[in-house]
Amino acid sequence: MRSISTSSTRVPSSLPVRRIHTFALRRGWFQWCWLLIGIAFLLFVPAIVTTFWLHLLNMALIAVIGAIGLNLLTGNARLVSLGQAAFLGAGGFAAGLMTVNHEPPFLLVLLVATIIGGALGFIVAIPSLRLRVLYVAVTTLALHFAVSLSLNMIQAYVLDSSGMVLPIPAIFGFELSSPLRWYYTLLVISTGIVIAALNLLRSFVGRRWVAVADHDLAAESLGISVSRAKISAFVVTSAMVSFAGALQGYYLGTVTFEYYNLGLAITYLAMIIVGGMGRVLGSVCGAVFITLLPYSIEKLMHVLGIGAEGSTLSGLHEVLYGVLIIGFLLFEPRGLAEIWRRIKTAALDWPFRYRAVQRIQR
Amino acid sequence: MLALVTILATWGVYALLGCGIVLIYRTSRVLNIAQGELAIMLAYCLATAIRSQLPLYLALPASLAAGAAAGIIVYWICLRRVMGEPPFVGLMVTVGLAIAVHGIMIIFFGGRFMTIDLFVAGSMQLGGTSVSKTDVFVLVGSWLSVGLVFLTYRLTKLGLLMRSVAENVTLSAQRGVNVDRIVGLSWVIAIMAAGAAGSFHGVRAVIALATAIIGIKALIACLIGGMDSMRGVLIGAFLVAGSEFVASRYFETRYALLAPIVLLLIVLAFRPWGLFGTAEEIRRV
Repeated sequence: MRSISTSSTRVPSSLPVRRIHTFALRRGWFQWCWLLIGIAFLLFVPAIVTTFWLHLLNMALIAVIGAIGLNLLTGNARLVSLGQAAFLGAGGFAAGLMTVNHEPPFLLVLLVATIIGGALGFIVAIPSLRLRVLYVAVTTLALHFAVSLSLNMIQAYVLDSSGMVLPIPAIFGFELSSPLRWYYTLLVISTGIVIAALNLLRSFVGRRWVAVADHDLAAESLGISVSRAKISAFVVTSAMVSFAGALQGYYLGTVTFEYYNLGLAITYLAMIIVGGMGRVLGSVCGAVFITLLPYSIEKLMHVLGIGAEGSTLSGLHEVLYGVLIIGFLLFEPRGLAEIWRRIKTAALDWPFRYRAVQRIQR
Repeated sequence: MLALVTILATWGVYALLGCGIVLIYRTSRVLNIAQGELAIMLAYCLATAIRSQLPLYLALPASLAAGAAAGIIVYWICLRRVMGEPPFVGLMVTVGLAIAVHGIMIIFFGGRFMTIDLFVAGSMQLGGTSVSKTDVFVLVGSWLSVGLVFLTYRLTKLGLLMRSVAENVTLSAQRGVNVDRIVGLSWVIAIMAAGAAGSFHGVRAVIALATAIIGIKALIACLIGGMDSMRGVLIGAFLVAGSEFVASRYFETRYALLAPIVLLLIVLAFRPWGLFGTAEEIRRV
């Protein structure tokens, strides 16, 4: 029998679990193999898709970063944010404004956009300290309107133009001039963000967020500072989202305030709901799924020979988003990530219906 | 006088939308983001009915019936299953509802600009100044509707049951109140009120996809007044309508939405539960 609790152990001592494995992300050679296969597949994707779909994948990779930020905030810290478009817009406009007259290095612009996003997150965190679920949502909605109005005025009065054009960025001389180059860069960046998010969630910062989300009073009485948890949640995630906004601005090449409307915020909410709230895998699945969905539908309709006008099609997309949000909330609240987990478990346990208890604990 | 009529008419529309939001929030603890979208969709329906030469005595009941049907569909298909879930689930469902309704409006009405042409037109003399008859019509109609909702809530048996559910769901269920039906009926009434508000708005101004923003304004009115206070929403709607009028009259039209938001942020900073809301609604940390 294993020795009963040493003072540093945080896991309840009655469980036969070695502490080192409790929060491990990857366990065993089998999962490492799958990870390597996955990475190899992602590296070879450009060889099998057309440029247009590569472009969509790039959009999806950028959306992954934004969705991870939103999911950390809304799924894990349970601070419902309707201000996603505002944070994205802040990042995009920061990048746009910096490159209007000068040509600062790409990485510097990204850094500044991230910091601006963090500052904006700090501002919206302050009123949220006294508020709970619904009121936080409304505060972020107010932020959305305030930011979109400011962006509108910046565009109309300061720039006196209908948008900003961003230069082609370069990282240490490596020009991101083609979708292929963008793909590999974005793949590296999003993988980094995914790993960062996974680590954040098992560090004391992320677990503090979850504790406050589960029960703020209990968390406070256990010595967790609720205000610090809420502020850090807003600052970290909005910095992340703003970073995604700046990347998106650079990738699309233009920044206009019309792009950052409430529909964009709802699209991101759809991503995390469809993917799975509170799971990093969910953000990834949801972002890819929702980004590719309209084009897949279009393609499907094309194959089936159903034609539709542009406006009808955009209406159809919105209905679909709405139905997906409602449907997943009602019938599969933990999203695609849960469906994937169920498939995986079923495959691993086949031909049995469920696993013996000992195997789970080992 | 003109300013007074304008503010009163806008106030009436926001109050009508807002008391629906409060009614829903009180009985089911769901913040209905989709109220504005539903209002505009029902207004579109009425405008289409009138445009296709349907007589008014058929079109008006038909639009009310459409509102009731929308309420029944919305509650019994979407919201009923999330009752008792954490509050953000209900919020998200209404967000999904809002975007779905928005899409439906694009498909069926193509995002066209429409107006509801009624028999009222022209202007009349009131207190020495000339005011538009439609404004007066909207003023009277919306306030009558608000009164109707309030009377239902205060004086009828249905209203009594609604208040009991709002007060304590478990106790009222134990006393034999059919909570499911009462909550559903409050959704139906609220969405019918939303339809009426949207139509009144359409009589005064243009109906377009973007005008669904009146739902957000009504929401702001509710938050200022306190989400669980029917009285509060009247005050909140006044503050929203008044500040909006002042901002667009004396500054610039584009500030019309900013003024209520600033007001809301001030209220949230000092009284997060709203001017008339109960403090227990949000546990302060």
